[in-house]
Amino acid sequence: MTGTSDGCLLAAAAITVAAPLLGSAAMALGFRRGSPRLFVVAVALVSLLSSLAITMLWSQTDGVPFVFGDRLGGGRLVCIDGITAVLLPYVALVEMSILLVAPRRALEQSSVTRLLFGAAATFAVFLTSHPLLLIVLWCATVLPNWQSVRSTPGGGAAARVFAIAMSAALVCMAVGTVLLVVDPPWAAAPGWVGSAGGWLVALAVMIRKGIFPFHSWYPALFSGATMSTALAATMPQVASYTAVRLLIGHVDHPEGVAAELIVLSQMALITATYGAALAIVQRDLRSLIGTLAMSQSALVLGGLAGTLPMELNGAFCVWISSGLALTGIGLVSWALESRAGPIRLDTRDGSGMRRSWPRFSCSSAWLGSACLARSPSWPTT
Amino acid sequence: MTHINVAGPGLSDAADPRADAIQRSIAYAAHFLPAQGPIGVFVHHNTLHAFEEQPFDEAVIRASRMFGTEPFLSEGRYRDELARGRIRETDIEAVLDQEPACRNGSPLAGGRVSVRRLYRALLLHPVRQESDAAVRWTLTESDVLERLRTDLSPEIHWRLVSDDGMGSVTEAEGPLADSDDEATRQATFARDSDAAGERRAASELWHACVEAVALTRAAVVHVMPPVRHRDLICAVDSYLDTDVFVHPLLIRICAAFLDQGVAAWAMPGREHGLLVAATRVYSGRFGPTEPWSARLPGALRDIRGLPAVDVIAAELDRLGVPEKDWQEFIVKSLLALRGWAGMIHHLEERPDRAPVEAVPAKLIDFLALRLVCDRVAAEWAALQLGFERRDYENGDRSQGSNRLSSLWTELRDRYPAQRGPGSLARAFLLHQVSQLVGITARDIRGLDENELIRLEEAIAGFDDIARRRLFHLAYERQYRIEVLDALAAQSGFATPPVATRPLAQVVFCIDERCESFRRHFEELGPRYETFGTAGFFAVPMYYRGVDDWHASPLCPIVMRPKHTVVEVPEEAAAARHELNRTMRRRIGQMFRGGLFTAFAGAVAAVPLVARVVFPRLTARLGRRAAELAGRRIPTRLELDHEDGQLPDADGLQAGFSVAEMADMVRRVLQDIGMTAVFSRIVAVIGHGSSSLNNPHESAYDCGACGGGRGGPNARAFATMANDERVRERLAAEGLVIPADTRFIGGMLDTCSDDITWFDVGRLPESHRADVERLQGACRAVCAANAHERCRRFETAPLDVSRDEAHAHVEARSVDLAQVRPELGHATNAMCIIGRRWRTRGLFLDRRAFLVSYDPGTDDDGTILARTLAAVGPVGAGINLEYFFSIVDRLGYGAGTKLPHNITGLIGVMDGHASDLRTGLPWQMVEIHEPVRLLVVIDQTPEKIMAAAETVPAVKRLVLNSWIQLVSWHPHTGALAVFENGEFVPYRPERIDIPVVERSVSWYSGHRDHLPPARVLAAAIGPGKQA
Amino acid sequence: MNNHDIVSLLIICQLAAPAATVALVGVPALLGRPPSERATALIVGGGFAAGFIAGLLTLAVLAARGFVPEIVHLGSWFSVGHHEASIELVADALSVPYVCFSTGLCGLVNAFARKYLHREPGFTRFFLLLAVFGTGMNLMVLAGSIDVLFAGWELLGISSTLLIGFFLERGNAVRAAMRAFATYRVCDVGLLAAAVMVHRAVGSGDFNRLFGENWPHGTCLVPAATATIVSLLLVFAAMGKSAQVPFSGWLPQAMEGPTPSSAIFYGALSIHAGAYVLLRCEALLEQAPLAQWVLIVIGLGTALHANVVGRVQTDLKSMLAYASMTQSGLIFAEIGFGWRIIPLVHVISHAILRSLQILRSPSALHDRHELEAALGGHPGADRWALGRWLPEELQARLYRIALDRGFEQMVVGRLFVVPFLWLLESAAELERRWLALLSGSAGPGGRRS
Repeated sequence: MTGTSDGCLLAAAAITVAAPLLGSAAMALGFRRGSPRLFVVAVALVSLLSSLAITMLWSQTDGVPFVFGDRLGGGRLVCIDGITAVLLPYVALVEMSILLVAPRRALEQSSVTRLLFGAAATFAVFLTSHPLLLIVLWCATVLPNWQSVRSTPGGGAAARVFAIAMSAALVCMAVGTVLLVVDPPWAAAPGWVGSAGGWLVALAVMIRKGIFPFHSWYPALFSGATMSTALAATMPQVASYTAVRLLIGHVDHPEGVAAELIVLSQMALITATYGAALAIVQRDLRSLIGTLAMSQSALVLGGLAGTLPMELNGAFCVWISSGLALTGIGLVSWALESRAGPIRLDTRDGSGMRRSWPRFSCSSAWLGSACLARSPSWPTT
Repeated sequence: MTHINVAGPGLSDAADPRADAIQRSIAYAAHFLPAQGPIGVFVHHNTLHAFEEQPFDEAVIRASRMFGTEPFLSEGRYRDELARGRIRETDIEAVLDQEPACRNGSPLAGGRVSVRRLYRALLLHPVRQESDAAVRWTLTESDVLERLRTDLSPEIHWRLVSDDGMGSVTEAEGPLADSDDEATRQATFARDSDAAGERRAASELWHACVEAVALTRAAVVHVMPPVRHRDLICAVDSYLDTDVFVHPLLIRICAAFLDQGVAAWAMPGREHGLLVAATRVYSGRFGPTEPWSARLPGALRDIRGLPAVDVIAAELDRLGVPEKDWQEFIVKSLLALRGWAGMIHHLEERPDRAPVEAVPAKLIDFLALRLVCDRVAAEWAALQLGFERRDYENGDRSQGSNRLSSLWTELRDRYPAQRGPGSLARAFLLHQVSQLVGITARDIRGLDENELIRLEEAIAGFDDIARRRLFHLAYERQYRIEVLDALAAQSGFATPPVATRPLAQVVFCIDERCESFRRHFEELGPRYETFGTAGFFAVPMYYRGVDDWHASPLCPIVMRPKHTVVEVPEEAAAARHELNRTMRRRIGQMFRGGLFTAFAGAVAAVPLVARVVFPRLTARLGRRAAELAGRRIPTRLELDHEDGQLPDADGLQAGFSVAEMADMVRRVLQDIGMTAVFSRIVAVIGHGSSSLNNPHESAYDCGACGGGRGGPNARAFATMANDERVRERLAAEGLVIPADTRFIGGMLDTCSDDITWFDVGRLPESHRADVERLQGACRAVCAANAHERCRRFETAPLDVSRDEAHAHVEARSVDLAQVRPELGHATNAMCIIGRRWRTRGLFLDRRAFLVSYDPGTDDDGTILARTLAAVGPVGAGINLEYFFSIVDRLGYGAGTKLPHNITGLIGVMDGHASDLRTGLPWQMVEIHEPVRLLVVIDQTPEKIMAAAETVPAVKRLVLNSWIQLVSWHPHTGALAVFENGEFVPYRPERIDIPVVERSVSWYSGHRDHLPPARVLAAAIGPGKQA
Repeated sequence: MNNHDIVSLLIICQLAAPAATVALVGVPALLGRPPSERATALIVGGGFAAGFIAGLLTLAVLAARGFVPEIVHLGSWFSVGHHEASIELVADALSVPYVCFSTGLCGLVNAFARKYLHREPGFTRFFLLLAVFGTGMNLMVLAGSIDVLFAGWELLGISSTLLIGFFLERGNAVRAAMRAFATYRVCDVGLLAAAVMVHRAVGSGDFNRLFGENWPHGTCLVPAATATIVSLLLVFAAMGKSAQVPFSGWLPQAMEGPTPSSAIFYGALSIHAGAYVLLRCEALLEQAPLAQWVLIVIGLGTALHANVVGRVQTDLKSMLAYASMTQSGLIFAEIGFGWRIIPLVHVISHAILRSLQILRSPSALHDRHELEAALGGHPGADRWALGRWLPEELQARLYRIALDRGFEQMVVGRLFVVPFLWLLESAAELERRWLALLSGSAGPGGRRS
């Protein structure tokens, strides 16, 4: 029984990653160039369904993580536990919605190739806890995003900022992980090597997640890149996942890394507040969404870095709900934008999108109900 | 009315030419302000009265530019009307035939397309003209370039598909200028490599269009920069809208200054005028200010004691406006808050129309105050824009004024030129239009540059305003044809009444809401006759009812009455009346206490629940209680002028002399042609409307009574006509009223469909039976009328019975929650001046003002002239006010009623601080069809022109086409429409119209407008005599 | 099913009925097929009617049992060790009459709005928000713990804000909504902080663990210092929603929404939400004389401010807004004096009368005519004597204070809003420069360019 179940899980995981990967390869080879939407949505749907299958299979088991592959520094090549089961369908849903509503113009060969490749890498991130694999996958998720930012007209500046931030994060991540693996702080009395590793990984997480003072690339990406790139690059919150895997205590090492987490959570709360405050004075919809997204994702990290199970639960809730809400807002604004050009919030006759709304919505973000409060500014309903 | 001292600041010695220029500019600007007065007495007038000197269609377009409003309905609305057949293709063809450009323009595209064909195609088929971004989106996201339009005729479709001249698909010479455009072009060009058939045709055409536009250059429109600092600043930084800062303050001050008694504490010093009062209150050193207004108290201190005109001159200098732009600057400054400015102007002109107490309002004061505030705000905004620093660097730091004037010039220089549509948008438009008119890719490639430019210009020139104008003409034409055909059909059918004495005659107001009432009355039988005349019945008076505290005018707005009439209690009831008054005063004072609110307020639960849940029952109980308490007491009008009594202080005379009364009676009887046949009982019925929670209540009242209720006029008229002395005098002049004819006055409540009769008890015993029969008939007619009205109310079921309908309308009139107590003049569209028998039996759907006029008794046209003078401007005013309020319900109309907030008892604002909302609220006009009043006159073209010539107000309306004029020949029945300065004979399109037995069988089950039909029951046909 | 279960069911019904209507109207509307006007009004009205009847039945049962409170435990949000955040409703002598009163009023406004908003584009939205409001109100009133109370309080704030901004196309309405919302949020911090304090003090947010359960005879079970801090925080929270000085500026501006919503929010229910919370925590206030004094000072100050300012208002709705504010100030003072029944009666009285007044405010011209006839003359503009007695200079000063609404806008704006925005703008500017530096593009691209 367990054997078949494990086999199924492994197969589903493989399909989840392989489907977009193969799709990407097919696109690169020129398959269905003319109207690729049906194809890519089908690919994304396969991933979504198999990720849902993982969740279902996982919910049948009794809560023991499913692991496969070699073990390194407390991580496994494939690791499916409660976190994966919850987050993988979420990520798949985000990826699919992006492909589903993307304007036809955004679905040309190269960008779809990149998008699918990035998706495959992201899915893979959420299926592993192997430190070295994580480093590789970070690279794999960052590269296509960087390329698509660079190829966006007028996205040169954003691409440069993105590149600077990401390479810094990657370096920190790589060095930190290596140090952590060499001297795991939770295994024995921590030496300086392990604690330096912990700090470096924490730094990488901060940069990759846009935590103050390393946040600048986050809103820049939203204003410089296409919405699909920005959402695909930020919404899965790869860095949060990494933090969970490498820093926060779980079955293998229940203590986690203490001091780094405290600093992380403090900085995250500062970022959440600061992002919301910044959003108040933004004047176009894109940077508004960018700053809001930054604030909300920092909130997630703030919760993750806490110590109580309650905080962890809350963080997951915010992760999924704010992620879906912001993706929704982002996609809607993308759709509007592609029809009507850039949306400014201060136009006097923009039927409801008045200058007051950003402030309005952001003062609500202070207490975390941004999406509820934002809804009236849409002229529909 | 308190007498006020109007001397004060404002006038400077007129010798100063600058002051003169300012005064002239203000006078000029005042024309464009809304003319609406205090809302308690709502008078309908042409919203664009100031533009009446110009032809209608030019004027609405010009006004729309000036006010930033819509000139016509939206194009989408017209297309809907086209789709549902309200506009027919024949109407569009006819309108195009009249268009000079279609008749004279030389063909386009190398002779392949006539201008007319182009226009026709653009009118009948929607073409998307959107922003560049939207066009790009359409091009890439939809299949517009992959297939031909679906609404093409088979020939054109065939022609396009079979175009064999598709040469090689070439890339356009150079890339398009705009990078986004170029990316989109590549995306669209890439898609069609090996297409065939329709797809190939569409894509080939697209290539040709892109190549064509690449030959010519995109238009850049250099717009005149605006003159106001606010607009210039907003163009740079839309966050810095100085009006948003200044207006709340100005609104507060104006409202406080004009308040008629909402506030318990009136603005101190307002008897000295707006500028002085505002200066006194705001110039103090005490009190914090908002950031922008930090320097306002100082600025106000500086102008203390200066005449307003000097203040304006100084401010204009400081603001740096050159003298040649003063007029435009002043116009725009006043229009920025035009509701309030208009109200101030109105009260300056007509202080007598202030509801409670006149205040010394002056437009010039308002302008001076506004400019001071504007300047202070502009200085602050300039600081925010970083202008000060630069000027300091330039060395001149002496005066603030230089800072501002440099701001003005610099911002004007920097004002962005507007770019026309981008290349792709132009190509897309060309692509769409080419398909519609059947130009193939080969045709386009064959055109030279000049031809291309001409074609593009022709398309661009026929923009949405031009299209909407033609749509509008077609829209009006359809209704005109429908009505004129019905009238033409009627000509052969209607017969004059035989000379039997009618059972009853009723004189109504001309109001179109009385049309259905008259029709239902006439359906009682051929011996019931009706007449229509302006509802003040030629009795202009100041009237004070028995419960009123002061007198109000009851006559058209253009007249100023010279007489007062007072309603007094009968001697027998005088004591009782006095007692009632004392009681009411006591009760009134008791409930005004503040303590009452705190703890006894729960008692209000009873009226709250009752009023909201059972409105009709509550109102009935209230009336019943008032009756039980003896509140209703018998009264009479004091009409007689006693000889030797001198006029009062305002020059008003109490009551009328016998000669004046006889004049008035004769005039009405002559106007309506009631000179020979009189029934035993003649009812004279004025009208008014009662509703609750309705600030615009008086807009539903009688227009001919200047927004008052016409009951007292009807009552006065009946009393006069019954007066023996008057009758003797009339008989001496040859107008004999039979001795057994009695007049009775009444008032129709157009909202609840009830008639109040006056002085019934005064009629002789011999007429008791006649009156009772008349009243009984009228009750039935009221119910029938209510039934017809209910078809328009969505909340009344279509299968409602007559009694239920009557109860429904009654409930509407007393319901606090009802925002549409009745629909007012909505749907008015025409005016028929003529003998009633010619239109009798025609179902006109409550859309026609019906004026009784007998061409037979009017040989020299004087009666027609005075009828036109009374009816023309009033009817056109009502019609055009509804017209513009529906055409732009926010710009010309008052928007939705829901947030309306009564301020100062003079007007309504939206919410807590907005401009005064003028015009009509949306709920009043939503079902209105905006068409110009179609005036049909039962008279020959020559006499109509002669009569119109003598009345300048009417002549202007006619010549500039603000009304549509039709002559209906009194003898031949021929119709002639006034077009371009002459009457053109009208040839009916069809001569059969629907025939029904009664009105109800025609209208029941429908909510929409209905075409005319012949109602047999109301007609006086052969075999119809009772 | 025993007696207790029936009462529990009734109490839940009071809450569930309006909540169900939110779903019944909201879900089809979300799917793009809103129910017809008639159906919408019937559903929402039916919800209120059901709530009202359930309230009356509960009241009858309670009265028969001598107002012994009934507590319904709906479950627990979370619990950690002995610390628990439970979801509880309480039916006692305060909450049940209040529920009857508020659902009754909601139902009435529902009946009014059904005709008043006929054919208005936002018809469904209005009724949906009304239902949300009713749900929030009942949740707040029936709350047996401070956490539940906070949830209801927030629903109230959101629905209120969205109704002020009902006319999305008008700048003023949106600005006013924004202003009200900002005030609410600032003051909500008080309630949130109070909730945290309560949890720390007694390990739970339940009112019965905080101060017995027998309103109005509860006794406070926490030390005086905690009681004082919590009370002050609650007073702070209540000030925003009940428009007390200096957080009152939003109230006259809030009259931007349609008249029925103004009536129910700013004449009747929302404006008294603060008073309700204070009444609910009366036992706590009794332990905290300092808070009581603060309450009296604020209440009387507000009453005085609103009274003077109200006298110069020239439009009906602002006048009524200030009249409401005066009364709510007085109610605060009454609560501060430690009274319990008097403020409750005052609240209900005032709410009913004021909503009638607001609902019929468009009849001002009509009423004025009646009044003139009754008094035999016009009531006179200069009827406030003080205005005339003062020397001219003082008159102008006082008038300006009143006309500028006590300088509230300026003071709050200058002291808080402007510096706050300046700070944010500067931060954003710095961000832009930093980004420009990072991205290597030329010079800072600020708004001045």
